[in-house]
Amino acid sequence: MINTPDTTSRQGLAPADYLTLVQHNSRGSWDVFLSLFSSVTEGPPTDMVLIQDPPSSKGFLPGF
Amino acid sequence: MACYISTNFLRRLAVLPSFPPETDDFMSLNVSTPQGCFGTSSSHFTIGTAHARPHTPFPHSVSPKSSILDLDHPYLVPGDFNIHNAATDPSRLLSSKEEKESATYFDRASDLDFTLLNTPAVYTQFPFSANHRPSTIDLAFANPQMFPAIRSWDALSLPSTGSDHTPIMISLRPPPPNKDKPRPHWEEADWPGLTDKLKK
Repeated sequence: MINTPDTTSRQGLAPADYLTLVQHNSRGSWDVFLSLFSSVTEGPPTDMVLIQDPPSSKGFLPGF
Repeated sequence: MACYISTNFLRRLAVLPSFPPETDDFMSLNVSTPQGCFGTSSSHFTIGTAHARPHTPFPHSVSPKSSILDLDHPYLVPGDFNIHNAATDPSRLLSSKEEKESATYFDRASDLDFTLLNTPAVYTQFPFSANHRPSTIDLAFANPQMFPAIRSWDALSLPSTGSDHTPIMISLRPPPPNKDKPRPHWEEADWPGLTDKLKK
């Protein structure tokens, strides 16, 4: 399930001091998508993952 | 296009996604906090991402104007721009078409004082076909307000995913404090008074 801002509790906004993001073209592949998130979750904390050409099924993006 | 954001990030900051009507291949996230961004007083910053698909004969599905935005606050746009340029791939023999296509993006970036984050000659795409050479088409541009916060652009650390593109990690941190050594403020000296004292 994908968490959205509505499902998280806000404890007041903090300064935006640090940001780590990953950019990747996943070529519409589920295998690439899963491989990317496997390495992202095992690596240093990542705030954003920007994906070009994400895989989709029946118009929906993958969630986890 | 898709963007996944960690729940920890969403707890700390307000994020508003935006999708321009002129293309399906660009999106941006406006991140705001009254507490300031990256050591500046700016209350918000924007992250864009583009997938500029090549159209025949030209232009791409995302124009330079749609992706390299003229904003007055910190802005970073990483993406697959599908363009070749000597700034990112110095050893590539560019065709006139490649030069013409990339010039529109690089000229706009230059006009707006953007900085290209890519390390020259670090490839980001390795085609599966042996008939094509590696290239650098995944680019990231930061505007002057965002650039001081850029700490690294890294296309080598994350493992291959099976795509012909490499995953790229970009880190932002507050600029380091100014550690210049103390220096005299000559302009504040009382030169006439000092000259008189020296003469005595």
